[in-house]
Order: sequence, then C-alpha cells, then structure tokens
Amino acid sequence: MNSITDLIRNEIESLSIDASRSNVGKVTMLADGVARVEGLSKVMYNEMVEFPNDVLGIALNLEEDSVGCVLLGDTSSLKEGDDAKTTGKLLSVPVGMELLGRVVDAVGRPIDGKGPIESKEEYSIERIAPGIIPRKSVDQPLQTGIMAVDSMIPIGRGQRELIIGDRSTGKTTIAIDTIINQAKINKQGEQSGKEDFRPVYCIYVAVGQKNSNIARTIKVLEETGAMEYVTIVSAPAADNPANQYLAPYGGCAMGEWFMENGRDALIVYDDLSKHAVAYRQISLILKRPSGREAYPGDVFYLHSRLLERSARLNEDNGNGSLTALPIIETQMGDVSGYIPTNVISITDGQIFLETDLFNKGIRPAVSVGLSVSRVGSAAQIKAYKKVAGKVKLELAQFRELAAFSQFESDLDAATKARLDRGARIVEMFKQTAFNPIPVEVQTAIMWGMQNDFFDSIEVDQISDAVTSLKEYLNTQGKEVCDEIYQSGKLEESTEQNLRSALEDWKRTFS
Amino acid sequence: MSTSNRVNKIANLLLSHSLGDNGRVDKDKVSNVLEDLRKNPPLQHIEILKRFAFLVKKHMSSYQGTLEYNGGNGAEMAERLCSKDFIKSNNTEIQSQESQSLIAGIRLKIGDDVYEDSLANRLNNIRKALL
Repeated sequence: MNSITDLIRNEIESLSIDASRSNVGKVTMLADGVARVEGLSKVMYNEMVEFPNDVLGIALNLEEDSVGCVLLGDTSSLKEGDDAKTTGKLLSVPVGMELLGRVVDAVGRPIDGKGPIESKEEYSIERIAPGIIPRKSVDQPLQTGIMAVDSMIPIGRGQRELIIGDRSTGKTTIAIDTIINQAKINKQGEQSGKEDFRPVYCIYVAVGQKNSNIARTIKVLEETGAMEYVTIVSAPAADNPANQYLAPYGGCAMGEWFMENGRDALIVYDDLSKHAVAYRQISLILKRPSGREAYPGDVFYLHSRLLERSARLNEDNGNGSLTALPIIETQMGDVSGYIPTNVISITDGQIFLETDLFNKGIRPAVSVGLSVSRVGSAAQIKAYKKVAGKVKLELAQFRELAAFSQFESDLDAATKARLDRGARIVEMFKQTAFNPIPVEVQTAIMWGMQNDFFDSIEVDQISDAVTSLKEYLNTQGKEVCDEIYQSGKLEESTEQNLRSALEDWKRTFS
Repeated sequence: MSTSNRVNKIANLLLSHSLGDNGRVDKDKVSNVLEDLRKNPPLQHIEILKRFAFLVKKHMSSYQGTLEYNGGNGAEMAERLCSKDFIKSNNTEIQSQESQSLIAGIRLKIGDDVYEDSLANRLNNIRKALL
C-alpha cells in the first residue's frame, strides 16, 4: 500500500510547478490620478500595472528606482504602501463592428447601459502608424454635406483635416454634420446596391467636454439615425486626466480596425486642445520637465503619433482608410498658439472658423483665406470639381474687394459684378446645423450659381431661393440629381437636363 | 551635474566598493566604506548615506528570497522551485515562512520578482476572468 502511494507521490512531485511570474513594487506616492511605485524593475513602458481593488494603471515614467503610473478608474481606495503588480499586457481596447452604435469610455468599456460588448478582437491603444509602403494618395472623397467645405476645402478619405476656431464658432457642428452625412450616404449606398460602395463608419472621441454636451451629441446622432454607424468614446471633463489622455488613442485603435480590414472610417477628436491640457497635467504631476506654456517637451509627438495613424492604405493592404478630423480651440482667434501651430503643421489642411463671421450670421463661419485642404481636391468628384473650381477664388476676391469698396463710392462694372456674385455665394453657403446636403444637390445648386440662375434674385432672398431649389431637386428634379449621383460627371446631356430643371424651378420660385 | 545625479553617482561608487568577490554585499567592506566617509565627509553626506543604504538594500534583495507557503514542507518546496529553469538565482538565500493568506500553495519573492502558485492566486484569477 505504502509503495503505491509513494509511487503516486513521486509522480506528482515530478510534475512541473505551474507558477505565475510577476514583478511587484510598492506605492510610495499618490496624487491626482498618478502613483509613484518603488520596485517594478522589469516593467515595460506603457504596460498595464495592477493595483489593489482592481484598479489599473499605466507605466509612463520609468526611472532608475521608481516608476510613475497614471491610474485609471476610481483611485480613492488606494493608499501608500499598497502593492502594484505588472500584468505583461499593454493597454488594449475592444475593436470591431460590435462597437457601432455604442458609447464607451476611454478604454472601451460600455457606458450606455446597453449591456456588454461582444467583441472578438482587441487592439493595443498605442500602435505604430502605417509606413510609406502600405500607403497611397488620397483619391476618394469624404463629403461633409456642408457646401462651403465640400466646394472650397474638400476632404478625401485618409486625410487629416483640422477644424480650428474660437469657442462657440461651430467646430463640433461641422464634425457632427459630417458624421450625419456619412450615415445618409451609407444608407443611400446600401439601398442602391452598388457593388463598389464602401460605407464610412465613424468614431467620435469626446475629450474634456461637458457631459451635457456629449449627451446632446448622442441625442442628435440618434434622432438623425446616424448612431448605428457611430461609436462614441467619451472622456468627459469629470473623468480623470489619464482617461482624457488615453481616449483619442483608444478611439484611433477602433478606427484602425476598420482601416486594416479594408473598410473606411472617420474619426473626430473633439478636442485636442483639452487633450494636450490633460497630458500637461499628467506630465507635471509625474515631474517631467516642462517647456513652453508648461507643456512637456513631447507634446508635438503626443499629437503627431496619433494623427499619423490616419492613412489611406493601398490595394495590397486592403484599400482601407482612416480619415481624421481633429478639433482645436483657439483663444481670441490666435492660430499662432503652441498647440494650434503644432496640429496645423501635422494635418493636411485646416477649416478655420471665425467668430466675426459667426456673429454676422454667416454659418458655417468658414474663413476662406485661412482655410485650406492640401490633398482633398484630388478626391473631388468630377462634376463637383467642374462647378466648384473657381468659387474659392471668387469668394477670396469678394472679401478683399468688399473691404476696399467701403471707401469707394464709384465702382466699375467688373468690380460691382464680382461683389454681387460674392455676396450671393456667401448667402448660398449659409446652412443650418445638422442638415447636410447631398453632393449631387450641392452640384446642382453650384451649377445654378455659376450659370447665373441666382443673379436676378435679391441677395437677401438667396437663402430662401437655395432652400426652394433644394426642395425642388429632392422632388421634381430628382431625376437629374440621380444622374449626377450615378455618373459623378457633368456630361453635356446632364447639363441640358439641369438647365431645363433649373429654368422650371426659376419659374415657380419667381 | 545636478545635485541628485552627483549623489547617485557617489552612492553607486560606494556600493561597488562594498561588494565582495561573489558579487554580494560584504559587511567588512561596508564598514570600511563608512569609516572612510566618516574621516572624509563629502558634501551632502546624509543624502549620500541614505542613497547608499537604499542601493545596498536593493542589491541584497536581489539574492535574498522569501518563500511563503501553506501546506507541505516549505524548505523542500523552495529547493524544488529553485531547481526550475525559470528561476535563474541558484545562489539565492531563501527564508521560508508559513502564510495562511495563500490558502494553499507557495509564493516566492526574490527582489521585485514574485513566483506564485497558490490557491488564493488562482481564485483571484478566476474572479478577474468573471468580472
């Protein structure tokens, strides 16, 4: 009997010990969502560190004898002397189609009360941006549905276009309009059954915003039926700085999943000024050396590594894209601030919104002179390019002449004609919020403007005329709009149909 | 050179003079180092001594382990555990003590590294997986 039990015991003892290995340290300081930990000698940069009561942190400062960790979640239960343990994992977020229609926090946990997210994949939040080889030039448009933007500052899939302006100038509205327009295009494309149609999925990252504003955005997206194509990553002002710092990276990882799986995605970072402020807070508490405006030295890299992850991939790499619309808030219209100049230099153009224009009732308050799209015009559809080619120049000339004409009583005919045309274009571009216009309707309106259909209408009636024309094009003139939508070109026959449609509309409007 | 850098550099130098041939902290050598410091006190004497103490403690912990166990023979387990490939510290001095918090199993701590195969750890892993 004893020999049998000895045999079994020997067998058990010969089995390998299944020990888990970890690296531990002790919390020596806790302040404002940051912990300093002594030990953790083998921790990796950006590795998740486990604290008691399931609190997680990320190792951001690796020093000779201590580690600085930013803490995620409720840190009130932590105290000095607590153990911290490495996990061997980098911070990851769930990715995939399951996230569409959901509101999540900075690390991808659902906060909308719709139950758990059944995601099959996870992506690390910090990823290397695609290199030169897998990329290709922007060649497909991403229509915002805003006439002033689509005509003068066109955006292409894979582009990074900055939306910049003072507070309350309509920055978020432009981003939300773009998202709503993508949802409309997606639905139209799915109904049309086009084989080559590629929907654009959207990710809206709210950083440091009021909870009430985020709730309003969600409501607008739900009411317009856009929510089914959107994921909202929320790190509101009430959230700790670590979550506000991580949210854009988490959102970007979610967008990258679409790009790497041959799909198109749009990501809005609202806004990166607050993101930089959150990072400054963390850096100062971590005692990193501060530079200009107390921002740490790597604040440029903070945004460049994020925005470089947006790209258009070539056919060999799935042909997907990630378009980025970062938002920056300026102070008193000063675009020469530290963070604005950084982000301007990283992006492929900017839409600059002016407070004066906004207050004059010109909304969207796009400044023609300061706004530019460096790559988007290559992606404009032919029909639109044909009608919108000259409009930016005409409007810029109008703004210049309008300034000088204030001192001149007698104007020559050519100047007067330019001023009249410019005033009408300004009125035509006025657009209400959350009401994007399909590209074919935009084309028809712009064609009407270029072909003098609005010249006989008084300037103060142009907005009404545009509204009336939109209604006409959505009903009686739908055929010609469909023609433009299908072909993407303005053939001679299409122009003839367009002329007769607009003549018909003009009779009813008059 | 900043003040903290200077303190660090001197403390590291003192540590290197305190190590014996086997790479461990030698008590006699530490006494000699302290004696020399007393005779020729440097600037920031106290800061240097504090840093020196920290480095000595850190260095010693790299070859002194603690084995906690519950159930079975701790010393025997330590011997078996140290023979495993994943622990590269053959010269480690291990002190064993019984710990009820493990419920059953062992936990070996050498420096910052913790090797654990305990029921408490497994239950904690299951709890986290279920959350």
